[in-house]
Amino acid sequence: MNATEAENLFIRSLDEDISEAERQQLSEALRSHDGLAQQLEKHRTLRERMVRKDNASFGPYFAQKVINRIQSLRTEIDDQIVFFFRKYQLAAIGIFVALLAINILFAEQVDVASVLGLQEASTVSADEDVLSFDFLQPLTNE
Amino acid sequence: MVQTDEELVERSKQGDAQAFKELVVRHEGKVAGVVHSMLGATPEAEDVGQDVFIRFYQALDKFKGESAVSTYLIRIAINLSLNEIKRRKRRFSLFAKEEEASEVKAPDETSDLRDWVMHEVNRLGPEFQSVVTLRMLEGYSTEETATILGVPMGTVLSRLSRAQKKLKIELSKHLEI
Repeated sequence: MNATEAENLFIRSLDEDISEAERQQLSEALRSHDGLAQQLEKHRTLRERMVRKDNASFGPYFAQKVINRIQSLRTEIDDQIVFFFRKYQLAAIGIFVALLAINILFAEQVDVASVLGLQEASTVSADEDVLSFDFLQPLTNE
Repeated sequence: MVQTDEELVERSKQGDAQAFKELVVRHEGKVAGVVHSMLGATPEAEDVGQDVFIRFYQALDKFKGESAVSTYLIRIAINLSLNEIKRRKRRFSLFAKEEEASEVKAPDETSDLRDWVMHEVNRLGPEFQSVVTLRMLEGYSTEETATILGVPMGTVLSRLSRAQKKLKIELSKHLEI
């Protein structure tokens, strides 16, 4: 095993378990290459010194800030929903007013039922003549 | 009585803000560690940290507990940090030439070890940066790193190996090793 292969194997050993055979190969490489042990020690030291030792934090009141943002986000969404439906609300009110106006214009007498369109548009009175039509009678030109 | 993450998630799903706040307090340290390692202790880092928890809150209904809450949060933290790095590069490239944009400002003589590590890690490139952050800086196991990033173990190992060699060359003079 040359020095580069030994270095690669050593780096791998920092991140996963290596087999007993590989461990022995590494020991042999360390014996046969001068200065290799020092190079590998640098890798180990680098790793040890890079690991974070302090407790990281985003500063005071971080959790409360997150909760505040979530709550303001909810309000924002509610406002968006209201805004989205506002144009439909206005259109609906416009149509309602127009229908009321039409009902008032065409009503024979102005009362609540006729204005709101609750009165029946037309009914056949009992004393009105009902045209009789005999389906069995053949049509003639007479 | 201390509640588990899963219990707090269930309560949060039902609209319990206090339960969600407890989750934030519990996981702030891990998320801050990753975000600070990726972005440095900058003002944007806190915004990204808040975004991580807000994304998690918005995805609570989809969270079925297949992975641990911390794994899920760290994955979001890595992705949002990478997005922020891309945004930074775009911002820089508006004012500087392409090659200057990719260069992170070097620490000076007064900078401490952490600044040099951050500087060199930032120069590695995004795919190396996330692996180095999780495994070398934050101390996650190789397996945890692979799970969080959703990449095979072999990929993590090869990226670590390449990054380790580069960092040893670059940091030797600053770490006095």
